[in-house]
Amino acid sequence: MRLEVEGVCWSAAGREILRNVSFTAEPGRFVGLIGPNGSGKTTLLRCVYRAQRPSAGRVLLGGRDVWAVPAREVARSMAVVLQEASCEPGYSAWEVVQMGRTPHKRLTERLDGDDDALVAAALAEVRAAGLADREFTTLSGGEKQRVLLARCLAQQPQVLVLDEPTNHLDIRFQLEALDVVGGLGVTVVAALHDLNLAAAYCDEIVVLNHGRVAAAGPPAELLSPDLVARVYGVEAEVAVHPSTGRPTVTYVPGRREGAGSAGLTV
Amino acid sequence: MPLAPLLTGLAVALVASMVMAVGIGPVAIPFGEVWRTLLAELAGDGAGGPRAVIVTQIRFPRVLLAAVVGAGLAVSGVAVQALVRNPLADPYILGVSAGAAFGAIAVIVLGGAFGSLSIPVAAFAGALLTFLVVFLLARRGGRLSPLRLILVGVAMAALLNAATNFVVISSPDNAQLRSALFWLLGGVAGARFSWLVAPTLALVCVSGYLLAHARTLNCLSLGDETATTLGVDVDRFRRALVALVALLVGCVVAVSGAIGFVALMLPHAGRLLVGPNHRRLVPVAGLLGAVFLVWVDVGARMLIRPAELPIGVVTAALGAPFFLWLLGRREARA
Repeated sequence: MRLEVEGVCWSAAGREILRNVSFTAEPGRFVGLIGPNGSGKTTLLRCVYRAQRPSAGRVLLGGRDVWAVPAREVARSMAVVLQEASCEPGYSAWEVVQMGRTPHKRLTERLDGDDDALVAAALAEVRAAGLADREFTTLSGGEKQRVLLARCLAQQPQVLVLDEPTNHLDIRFQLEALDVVGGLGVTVVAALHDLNLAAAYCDEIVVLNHGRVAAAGPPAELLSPDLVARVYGVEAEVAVHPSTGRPTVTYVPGRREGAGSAGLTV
Repeated sequence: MPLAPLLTGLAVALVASMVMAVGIGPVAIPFGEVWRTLLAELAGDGAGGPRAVIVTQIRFPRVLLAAVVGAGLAVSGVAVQALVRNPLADPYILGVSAGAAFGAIAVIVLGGAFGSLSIPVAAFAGALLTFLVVFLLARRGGRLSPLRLILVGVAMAALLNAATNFVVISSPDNAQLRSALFWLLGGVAGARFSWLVAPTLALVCVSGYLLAHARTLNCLSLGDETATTLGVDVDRFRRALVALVALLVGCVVAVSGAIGFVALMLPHAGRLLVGPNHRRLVPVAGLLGAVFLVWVDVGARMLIRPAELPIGVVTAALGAPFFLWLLGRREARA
């Protein structure tokens, strides 16, 4: 399913956070959203998953404006992993994953064996089957993240939106999580901090800076020392990974440019 | 623990408690006699006599009302704690009980223009009017934020309590003062069958709504944003919940006064038994609340007999220590 962001603007307290942001995630493509802290990644995703209404512009899911259809219908085709996971104490990981079935069920319809099978498969997919009976709030950050990803899988989405999905995960689970997400064959839009992970997994990267799209394109064409310097104010070398053929970014410590680090370069 | 046997057990406990509670009082009536009298009354061939009157006209409506009020408060407590995502909240933070109290006290003390209204009607009107004001003031930009709801509710409650206290204190009549105080502390004494209708209907409707929306309530436990991504229209759902809770609490408070702590405590007792999943919590908390208030009312009429304690004194005496224990437990976990 295609996800289109068309000229989205958003401002809070007179400050423009997003300015005319547009990009398209074609069906089945993995689109990474990168950019420095405060560049508007999370705000943009909140507009996409319908938590806040853009002040201008539209978000189209499969050609339909997400604000023109009920939340439940959007939720049947789009699942989201948020950056901050909160949950009242007492729910088991299994119950949290079960909640992914909510948009597919009518009010009084009970969860059945098929739902249980989907929940079990989702937990197994992120190697969290052993966590099923644990209380969610007692899990480690990484375990929580995997359970939340499992909840999204149980939701059977056609578009998956992830805000920093690899936060809290150690390197193995970062790779596993992105392998799982990339292997689903659904459209993925993910805000990522790690440029190397973005380069390794994304079909396309959208670079946000100061609430605007600073650049967009396939990683191999997009990532350059010049871009990293311009957007992050960091000196970096970009090479091609010998075995994957993907670009890799190596930072050169101690040499920074831009206002934020002026004091360090005197 | 599987849900069905637990619910059956609680239902049996409720019926047994009610029959026992009807028998207990200044005039003790054996349970067998209570049971026979009630069955005879149901069959329409009540034998009459003073003991039958005590059972059917005085104690039975009172015990039934205690059960309905207890269940209503517990269920509305579950709903409010879910809707403001705060386990230490109860429906009184919506200011509804303060509004009801003001309405009732105005009739008791001021009489006059208010005198034509019965106390329950005035209390219900006070509750709903307060709720409307809180609801309108808590909305901002078309959204109902839990924090604003709590803050506006607390402010309105303080204002109305001040007004109520002013009216009570400036009353020249001691008898009025006593009846006002009794109402403020709550109770189910003097219950009539006609008082049962509105709260029972409200209890059935609201419990049904909450059970049907149990999954949605669970989703709210993950936060507003996650609930949105799971297809919940959070704002609309919250508005519906607030309105239903106000209706239920308004009906309950109108006939029993402001009974404290039940709505706060019983949801937690339910969670300790069956966890936070609302499909189990709503019925379990409701039944627990009914059993609890039936016995609290027995305490209220037996502890200093032949005089009666206001039921609010007994629930608060049990509730306050429980609340402090709960608070300590939460901090120990955090």
